Amino acid sequence: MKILKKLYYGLGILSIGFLLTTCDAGENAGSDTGTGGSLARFAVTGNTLYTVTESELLVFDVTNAAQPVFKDYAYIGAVAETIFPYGDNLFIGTQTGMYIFDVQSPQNPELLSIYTHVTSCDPVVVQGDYAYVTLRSGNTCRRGLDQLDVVNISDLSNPVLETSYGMTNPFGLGVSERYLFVCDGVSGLRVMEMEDPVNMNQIHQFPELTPYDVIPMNGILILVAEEGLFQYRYFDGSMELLSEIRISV
Amino acid sequence: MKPKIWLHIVLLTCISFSSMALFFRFNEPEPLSSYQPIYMTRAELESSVVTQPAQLLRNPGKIYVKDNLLFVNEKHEGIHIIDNSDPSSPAQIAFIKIPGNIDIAVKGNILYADNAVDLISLNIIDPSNPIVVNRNVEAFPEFTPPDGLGFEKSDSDYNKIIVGWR
Repeated sequence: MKILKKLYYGLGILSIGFLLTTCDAGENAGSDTGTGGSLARFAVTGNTLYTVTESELLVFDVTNAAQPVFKDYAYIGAVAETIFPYGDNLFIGTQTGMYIFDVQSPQNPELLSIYTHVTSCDPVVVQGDYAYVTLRSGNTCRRGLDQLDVVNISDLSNPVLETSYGMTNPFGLGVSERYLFVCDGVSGLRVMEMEDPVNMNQIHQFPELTPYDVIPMNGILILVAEEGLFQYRYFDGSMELLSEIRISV
Repeated sequence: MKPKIWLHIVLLTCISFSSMALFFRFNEPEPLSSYQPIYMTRAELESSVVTQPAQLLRNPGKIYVKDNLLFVNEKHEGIHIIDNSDPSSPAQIAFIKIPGNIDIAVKGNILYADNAVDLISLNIIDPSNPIVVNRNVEAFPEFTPPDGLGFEKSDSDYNKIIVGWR
């Protein structure tokens, strides 16, 4: 235990030193990394690669990008399935709830809080003071519910459920400014407008697709579905299909 | 005295039977998965990653964006690399065959991917020809069956690595 403590102190001092010496580089490092969908189990931010396994959050140092070095792991007492980095935090979707970690010290994730719910599979995305969590039943989540939870995270150590929306069988989701895109199984893609996250309106639905995950970015929605890869331009409440690469059957 | 001894014998029998019942109940084997594993030896796994010409999408999984490049996982098979500088006309550049691949992340010119239990790093400075530059052996736990049911390796397969299920 003593050695562990020393290790943590060492890491803490190292990372503070690192922050102080590379404050400017930090900004560039952020844009140096890409963006994943909500179902990602890998997330790279700055010089750290995080991955979740069934019960652990793994931490790799990628200061030298071509040579990840395993650093540490944090035990998660639940089956972890997705990881969403936002600001200085990681939001981890598990089968029993959303775990919020503080990663201001990147190699030393600290559990801040857990938003628990009934057993379900649940990816999570975050924007501003709200986390959007889809709960899905079926497959390995037999006892679950099918819904979208809107969770107030203005106090990260005390996430509070604001409201829930009924869904059919939701998988991935994405949030961009005033739009929330939900991949809702056989009900297709749902586009929700949310000037007020607690009172969203569904403005589009594409039931002809069985979507899996989305990445909304700079006005373009990239969508992967059982049927293939689709891209839309979203603007002022409209959705325009730009391209599609259909699967071969 | 005699009735007391009988009472003890009855009580003890009851306790032992109920504890046995509990023991067997908790040791009841988990229902077995109907999925069969696809195996590779360690040597096969370490030489399994190759770049191929662009391929058709069959069973697309997770997606990842880095600048103008779009990466689409083909579940348990590898990664489609797509030039997405024009989202109206995405161009498939290449396919990286990575058995056991599900996840993707990119920092700079380096792409991280799971190759079953290993974490591999690929240099994608030339996205038409990604090159493996590092391998973190056994960074991740072995796959479990997709249906969440039980599975045990036989002794002869003990050293093999599960790269997918059928």
